[in-house]
Amino acid sequence: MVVVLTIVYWVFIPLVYLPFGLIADPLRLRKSAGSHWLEREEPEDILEHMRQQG
Amino acid sequence: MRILGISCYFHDASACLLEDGKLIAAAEEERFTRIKHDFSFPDNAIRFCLEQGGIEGGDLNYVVFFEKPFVKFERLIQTAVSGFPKTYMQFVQSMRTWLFDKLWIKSHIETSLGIDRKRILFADHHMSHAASAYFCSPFEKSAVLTFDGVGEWATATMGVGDGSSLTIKRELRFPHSLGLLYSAFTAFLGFEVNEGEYKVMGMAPYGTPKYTSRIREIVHQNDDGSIWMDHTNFSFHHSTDKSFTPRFEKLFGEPRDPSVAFFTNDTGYPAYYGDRPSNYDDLLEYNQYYADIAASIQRVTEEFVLKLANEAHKETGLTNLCMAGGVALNSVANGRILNETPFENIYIQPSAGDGGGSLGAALYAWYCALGNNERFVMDHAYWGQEYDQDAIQKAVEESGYSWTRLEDEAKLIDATVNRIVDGNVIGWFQGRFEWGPRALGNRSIVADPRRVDMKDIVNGKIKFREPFRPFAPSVIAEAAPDYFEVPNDAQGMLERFMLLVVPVKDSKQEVIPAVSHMGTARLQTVYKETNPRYHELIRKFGEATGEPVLLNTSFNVRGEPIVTTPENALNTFRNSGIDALVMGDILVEKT
Repeated sequence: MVVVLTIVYWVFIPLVYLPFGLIADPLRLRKSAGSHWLEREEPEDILEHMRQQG
Repeated sequence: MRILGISCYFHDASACLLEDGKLIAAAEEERFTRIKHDFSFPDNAIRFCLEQGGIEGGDLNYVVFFEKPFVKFERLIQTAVSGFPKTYMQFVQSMRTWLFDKLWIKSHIETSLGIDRKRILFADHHMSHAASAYFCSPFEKSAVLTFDGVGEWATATMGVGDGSSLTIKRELRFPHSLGLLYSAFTAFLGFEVNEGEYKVMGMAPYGTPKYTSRIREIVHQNDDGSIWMDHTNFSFHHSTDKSFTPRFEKLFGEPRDPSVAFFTNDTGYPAYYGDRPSNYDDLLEYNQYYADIAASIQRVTEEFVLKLANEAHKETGLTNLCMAGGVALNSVANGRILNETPFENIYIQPSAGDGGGSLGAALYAWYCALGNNERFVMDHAYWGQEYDQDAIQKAVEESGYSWTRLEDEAKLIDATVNRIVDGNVIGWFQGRFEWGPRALGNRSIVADPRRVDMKDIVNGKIKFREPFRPFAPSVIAEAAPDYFEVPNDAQGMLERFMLLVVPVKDSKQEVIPAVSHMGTARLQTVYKETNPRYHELIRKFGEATGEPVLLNTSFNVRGEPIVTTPENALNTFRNSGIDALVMGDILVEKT
């Protein structure tokens, strides 16, 4: 399992990292001006939303 | 309608059972497995909840998991990509558990409980926190704040509860996290993350907050309360074993060596540490620096929390506040919110950390997804398992200790009080065990708080804790204002659950020195309505001594979960210096 994950990490993650990782900042590690709050919207159908794992 | 809530696979696995919106049972898994902070699937806690409700898994209408696993998985992948190539070890370690366990939680619940997949629901992690506080509170309307290490993405949220609705308005996201900031300093101070945060809080009063500006160089807070951390100083988002970077160490120096005994001039050097080391003065200086760091991170955290609370008030205009998440267990910060913000009432349920997620998930489903209205107020923490008198007697008989059964409660209380007055340390085991990390009078060790040496006695005989860690007082609610500067918050909910640090009145600091921690105390107020026997014990101690206050610490030895069964209690009794044990109506003695 470790071998498979190692291959995935060193082969596939760079494929994503190279085009996006240098430009995008999903963790907001670069400091930006203004608020760091993100607005959140609640689902309309909460029961249906709770059926989903994502 | 029966709803089972489950939290697991992060910290403090737990389960709870609701029947028509009323809580029937709730327990953390660690109490049964005896593994501290056990995060595995809570088979034992679930079994207990179902037994308490007199049902089987198939009778459940819904099972609700406390977070959204796929969203969390997405965060792990994005973190791995973002931190490439430093995230290699973290990626391999986390994927192994995710691919084999965590991604299959729905199937696991389905097979272990025999329940249809359609009846398995998932709540968002911070919504579970928010619901665990608001829907247990006595408030019809309240601002809601949650903050912890991290859930799926969120690390803090701000929202509002109104009747049976609960809405989160905004959130802060990983890796910018007040909880992870505190944990990074917990690690720097030589304590275990997710375990030693209390120790940092206990250490802080022995230091001076000299380094707050240095901390603020690496963590910024906007006027709206939002925070941003400079992650060139932190490594928890890419490392498996370290929370801070060499750059952090350049700012704050070497991490504290945990093998060095901690003491300062103010804590004194306790007898149970043995002989004074030859380099005593050097160690004093060494330890004082880290006490100052603890004081600084505690002060910064309090200021961040105050600003967040002020922002929540500004946004909602409300004077009630519900809080949850691990940071809400910072009882010093909680006291400052009551004193220094417009909030007049605060509610935090006793299992405010991830253990409480199961409860919040179930309550969120009951109110928000299923549209129910009638509210439930949690005003006590006694939701765990109870052991009847026969089970207790059987365990005691097998132990070989001498014992007496005192069915007349007055005699049982008198016998216990006499022993406490004589300086004995008593194990007190009654009724259902507590929900959450605090022992609140059903699985407690109690002693005389009037004796200045009692802290050292309890430490030396049983707890073997660091000398800077406080012992808490339990006081009958009606006498609390005589001893402590208690706030005028409605129903005193924080004090019921030992979630508030308050000043000890000047005139009483010498009276109850064993529970006064640099002039403050994390008190528990005890009500006759919710724990009549413990209330009577304290009241009678007050009759005998003039002081209706007891020293109360959790019934466990260092590193173990609080005792659950009579056998656990007898085992701790056997392996510690506890003088007598009172379990139900039975008094057990070592002589």
